[in-house]
Amino acid sequence: MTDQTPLNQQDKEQLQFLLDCYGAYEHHWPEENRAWMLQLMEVSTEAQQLREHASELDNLLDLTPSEPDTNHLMDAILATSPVPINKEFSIWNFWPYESIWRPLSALTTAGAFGLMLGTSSPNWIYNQDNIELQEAYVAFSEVSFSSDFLEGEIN
Amino acid sequence: MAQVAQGDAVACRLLVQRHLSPLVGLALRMTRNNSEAEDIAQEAFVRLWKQSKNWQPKAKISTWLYRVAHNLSIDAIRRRERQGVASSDMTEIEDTTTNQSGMRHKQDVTNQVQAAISSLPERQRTAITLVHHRDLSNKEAANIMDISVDALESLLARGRRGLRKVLEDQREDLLGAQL
Repeated sequence: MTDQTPLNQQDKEQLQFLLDCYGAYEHHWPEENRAWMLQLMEVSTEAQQLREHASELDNLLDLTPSEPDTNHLMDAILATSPVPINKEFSIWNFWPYESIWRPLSALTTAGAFGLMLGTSSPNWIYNQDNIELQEAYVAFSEVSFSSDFLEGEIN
Repeated sequence: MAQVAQGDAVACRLLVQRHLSPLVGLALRMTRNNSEAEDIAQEAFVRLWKQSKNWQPKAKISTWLYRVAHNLSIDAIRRRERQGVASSDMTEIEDTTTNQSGMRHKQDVTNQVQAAISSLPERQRTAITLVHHRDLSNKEAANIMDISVDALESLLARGRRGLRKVLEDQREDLLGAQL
């Protein structure tokens, strides 16, 4: 239901100023004034005429494209975008294996083998040394040193 | 933005696709120089990539980019003025949708409106572009331009009145083109 009575001067000035600023599109109007402006539009033909007048400029502004073609810039801009974290420089870039588990399991096996060898080999060496000493002792005990023992010159 | 910081190529591409053209458009409206506008948009994205790791979730990407582009455009304009060099690359945005022969009249009208916009002072052009073409709220536009809402409204009102005055002579012709 529109009202043919003119707007009061204060409302008219305020509405005219807002339409001068933001134009006729409702979504451009300030949030705090939108409800009031819409209410004026509903009840006043004068307000509707002011809006219609403002919409002429909006329509002309809409004719002007505001977004140029920029496809040729895409690649250059994306080339400067952040690199994925796993592609950044780090010590892992030099790691030749896919996963750490393969070399780790090989290292563990080698370590276990080394420990086993280390704990068992002293017995072998000890036993080997004892056998050699016993053989030497037996050999000495069977030889006579009375006549041909070379003592060397004393002086 | 977190995905961008982690180098997600798809996220980066989407972000550039969404914001690049409006950004170049704003810089072009401000500087009226195509190559400068493109450089400004690229620089804005470089700064965004750098900022991505420390991005505050409450910040709006478009507003942030517009603000950077706005500041870079102001720098470019001042640099040009200091050097006293007139831009040799004055360009307006080409409307690729109106190149058909039957649309010649509409193209003429578009050119007249473009010329009228270009004739406005830089700050009025910027205010109109942010509010009308970018659909930003008055608070966002004022924030980008680093001015108060009152100052923004003053720029908008003067800008639109200036446009109306410039276009008044061709009013009948222009209004016919809208239909």
